[in-house]
Amino acid sequence: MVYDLKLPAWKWPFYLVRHPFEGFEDLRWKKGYNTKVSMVIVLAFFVLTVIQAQMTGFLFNNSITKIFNIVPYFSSTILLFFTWVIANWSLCTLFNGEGTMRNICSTSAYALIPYLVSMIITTAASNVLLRREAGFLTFISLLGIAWSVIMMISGMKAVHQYSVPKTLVSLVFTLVAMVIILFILVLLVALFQQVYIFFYTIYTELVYRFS
Amino acid sequence: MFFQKKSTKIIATLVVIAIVFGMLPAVIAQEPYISYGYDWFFDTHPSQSAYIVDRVITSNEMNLAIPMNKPEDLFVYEDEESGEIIVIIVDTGNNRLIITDENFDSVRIRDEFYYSADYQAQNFLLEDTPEYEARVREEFAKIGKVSNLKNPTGIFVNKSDDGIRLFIADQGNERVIMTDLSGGILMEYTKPETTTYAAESFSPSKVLVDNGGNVYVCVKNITSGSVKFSATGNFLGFFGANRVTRTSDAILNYFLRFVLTKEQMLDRTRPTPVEFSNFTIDNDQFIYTVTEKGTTIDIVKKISPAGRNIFANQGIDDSFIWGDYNSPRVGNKVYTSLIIDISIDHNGDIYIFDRESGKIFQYDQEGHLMFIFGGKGEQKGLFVDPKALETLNGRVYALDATKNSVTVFKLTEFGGLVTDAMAMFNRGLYTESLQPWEEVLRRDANYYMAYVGMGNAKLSVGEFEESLKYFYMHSRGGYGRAFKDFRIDFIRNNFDRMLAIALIAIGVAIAGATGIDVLRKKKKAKELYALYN
Repeated sequence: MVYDLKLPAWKWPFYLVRHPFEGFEDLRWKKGYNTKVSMVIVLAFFVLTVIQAQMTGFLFNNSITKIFNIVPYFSSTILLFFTWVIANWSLCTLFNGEGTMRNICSTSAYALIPYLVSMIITTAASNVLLRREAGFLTFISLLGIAWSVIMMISGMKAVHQYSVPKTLVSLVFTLVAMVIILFILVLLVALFQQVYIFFYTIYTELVYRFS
Repeated sequence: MFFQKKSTKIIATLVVIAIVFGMLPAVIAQEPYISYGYDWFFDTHPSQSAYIVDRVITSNEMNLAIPMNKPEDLFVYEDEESGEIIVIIVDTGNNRLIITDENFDSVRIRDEFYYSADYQAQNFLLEDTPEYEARVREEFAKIGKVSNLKNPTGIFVNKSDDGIRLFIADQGNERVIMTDLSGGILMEYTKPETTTYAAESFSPSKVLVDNGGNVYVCVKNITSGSVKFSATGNFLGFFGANRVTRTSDAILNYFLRFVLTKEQMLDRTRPTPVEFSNFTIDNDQFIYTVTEKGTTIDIVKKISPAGRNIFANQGIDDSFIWGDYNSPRVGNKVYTSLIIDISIDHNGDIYIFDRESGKIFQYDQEGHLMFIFGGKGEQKGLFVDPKALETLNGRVYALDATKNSVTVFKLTEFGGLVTDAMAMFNRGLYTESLQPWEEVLRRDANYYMAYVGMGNAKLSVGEFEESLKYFYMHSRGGYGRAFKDFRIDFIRNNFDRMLAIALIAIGVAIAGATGIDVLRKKKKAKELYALYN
């Protein structure tokens, strides 16, 4: 542990990338969690996903670039991220996790950094590589994902002060909780749609009656 | 006087006439179907018609005393002596053949068949046994006797040295017969009497003959492929069976068997291969088969002499979709293409006939979609019950069993242009095909293959950037090839600049890092100084 660590908020994520294991303990010790920085990272996650879909070279681009719809990108990044945070918080508070919602949010956002960097590199490189050189892209993106996953596990371990097995189990159950949350969300949307249609029908009925 | 001059009067009259004629509904020979193609994202876009209906031949036009009744097959070939195009229709319901020329003037009806004096008994491979002798005697006793067709469903014409030979799949009599044009039966191919042929029945539906005189018979309910006979009538085995569907499907079926009812299981794809429903042979002696339903792979396949599907080698793998990409939904029913017949023309282009939508799809030999025409309906150029398809010299002959008619399509100017350009393209004459493709693009800026053709043409003359523009969103393979050359070219031309930029960048990075280091040390020293003083 580095005891004389004095870092500005924006430098913490990059320090964590270089120190994926003890770095999160430092983060916790020094209270380096910063919501603003993590929101910027989540926004970057969203923007980079859109950029990757739109600007990957023709040889590697499998997304439909003919029409642009922002909703799927939004739900697969920002919505997914906050579902993750909420699911993890609601699960781990019940199992002696020490992380607050804010800290979980920051930790998760900081853990995304390697993945975002790999996205930038692959998107740029896909414009100068050929199909037969696709191995480089796969390697870089896999490296980014693996690094992010390691950071996420170690970050969750530090923020909740769990043992490694407990962290892994909690992450698996977080995924289950996410599925449940999304399922309820869909149900809720469908229900409100029904209610809305009900009131709208009454409204049209009244309009026809009195006009 | 309203008009001052006579000339003004004439002009006014002409104007009035022009207006009146302009208001009349314009008479345009328009096809009842919409020609279209697909773009990179599999969305349709309308295209110019490549084929228009030349004429529709019905029983009435041929002056048939008994009208056609559910014809099943037709064959078109060019008579070498007269140069006339001969069309033979298998009139299944009336158990006869209708042989006619292309103009359908001289119509001959062949409804009586007899065993010719040259009749040769099929070689049964029962050598020198009393049984064999009796059998041969029995066979030769048939000579001169009448033997008519019963529910014939397939025909093939082979031009041998002895003259034209017709091969007719006589399904009701469980045989395939080889006859001459006058109706004399020269050979009978019946159910093979070997243990290899395990089925009880022999109901041949289609037949074809290769250059070596081998006869391939497509038999209903035989899943091991077509039955192959030698010219002398020996049973040679089965040829070109479909592959079994994927293993994952078979495993899934195993588990579904516990859940689904028997009827539901029958609707699923089966782990035994499905028999193909029709086949054809091209000029290079490759056999193509089509399978109508019950399968997701091998719907259209090209068989090598070893019996393998060689479309896979040409980049047409199992995920290739023949027919429409998006199955149109009408009411509750989803229409997926059911390919009923296939024909290959002199360019090697593949034509397939979709029973479900009545559309004819033309592909080039590499599987690039060229044209889509036809459809379902009563109008000329549409079909109610599509049955058979033949092509000859740029014309397409399509048989309808309910309308009892043969529809003859001919190429439009646009279609001819594309066909020529495509033929050049497939022979590798990219530079020469530049001109025709440009003309095609002038007429239809959405024509997909024109972009691929242009890209190849530009690539072959070394205009990489132009080539990339044409290949973009049209061909990934082409784009890759063009980009490889473009990249090498770019690096070669700009290597000095790139090297300079890289060196400067490295220099700046080193200088910057050193500078930052120096600053940091100074800051730390200052802090330490402040701490101790």
